[in-house]
Amino acid sequence: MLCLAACSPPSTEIASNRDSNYSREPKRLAVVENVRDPLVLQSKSFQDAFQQKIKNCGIVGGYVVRPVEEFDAARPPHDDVRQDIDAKTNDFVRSFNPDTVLTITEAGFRRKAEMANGHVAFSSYEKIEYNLALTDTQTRKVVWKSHIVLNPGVGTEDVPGTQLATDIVARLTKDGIFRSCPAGR
Amino acid sequence: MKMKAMRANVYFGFVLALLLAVSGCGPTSIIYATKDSSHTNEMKRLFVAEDLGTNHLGEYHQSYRRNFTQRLGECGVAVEFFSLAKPDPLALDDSRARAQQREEGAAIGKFGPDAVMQVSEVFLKTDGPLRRPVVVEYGVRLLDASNAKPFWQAEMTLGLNMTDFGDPGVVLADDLVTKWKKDGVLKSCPVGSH
Repeated sequence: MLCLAACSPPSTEIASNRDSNYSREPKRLAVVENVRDPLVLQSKSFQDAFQQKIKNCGIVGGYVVRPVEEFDAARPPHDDVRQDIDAKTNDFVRSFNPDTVLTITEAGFRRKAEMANGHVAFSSYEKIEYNLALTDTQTRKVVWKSHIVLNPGVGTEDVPGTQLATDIVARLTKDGIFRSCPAGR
Repeated sequence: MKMKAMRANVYFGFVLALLLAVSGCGPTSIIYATKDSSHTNEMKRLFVAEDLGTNHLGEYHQSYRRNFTQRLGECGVAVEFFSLAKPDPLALDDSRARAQQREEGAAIGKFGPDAVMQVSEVFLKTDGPLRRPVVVEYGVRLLDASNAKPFWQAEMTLGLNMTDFGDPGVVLADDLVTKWKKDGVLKSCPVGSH
């Protein structure tokens, strides 16, 4: 009941662009999550919801989280951990053998600083931006791109991941990439 | 990553406390850096590739460039800047990005640097009560131009408020050059020499 007053639901703004020549339909989709901090995309709720949604469309999904390199003062600058991460990601994608690869990349976020009781406090994330690209592995061409701004809402810990997954699948369906999804899903 | 986020919160809190609580204090920066101690080449020609995205420096960008050029010039280092345009997130072909890479390669070839600085506005942004960004984080790397190997890397946090008391562009340039002096990146230009 408290939440009724204090919570606000998550919402998304989505822009997308598809290759009109792409006529195949994904059936085996590898999802590569490029994440920087433990934000919404990493949450189990995102993968669970996404998996459920694409299953309804007859698509098998495989997921790999590829952390974006973070600065580490204890590591010398030439110690390139990126190569290891990339190798692991590529190994996963190869072994999954997808017909399409969806990369989801956190492109930015915004937090608000406020004074509270004489101290600076940071709000939870107000806005998280993602860039998405769908690549057809047969032609190696990017056939769909999207830019998503997610407002995670307030007091709704698992809901943003579900919302993001739902809206991505809905957009891919609307854009005619996923063509076997049940109506209204 | 959780530790990282916690640390980020701590030092952002620290920066903002500095920025907001200390009256008369101008823009401030914090730099965490790491250096390859085996790198001994002297930097004399520096090519700066700026990937500033939204470019929160805005009106202070030119003062940053001017001051950076001047401070490094005092240390005998010539500087050339190259701005990378923000890519269109909906572009299906990468021809524009590839064209930009070619342009950058040509500019590097023409300038002939011994080091390349990559500076990018890391996407962490914080808004103040007036909805203006007050803290912006930059990722900075120095690469040896002869082998493209990074020899200095840093995470730099810059406060953009209190601008009545100072120019954040000047602070960014000053603090970066001072840090390089301290870290021995500018070997023939130690701290206190200019």
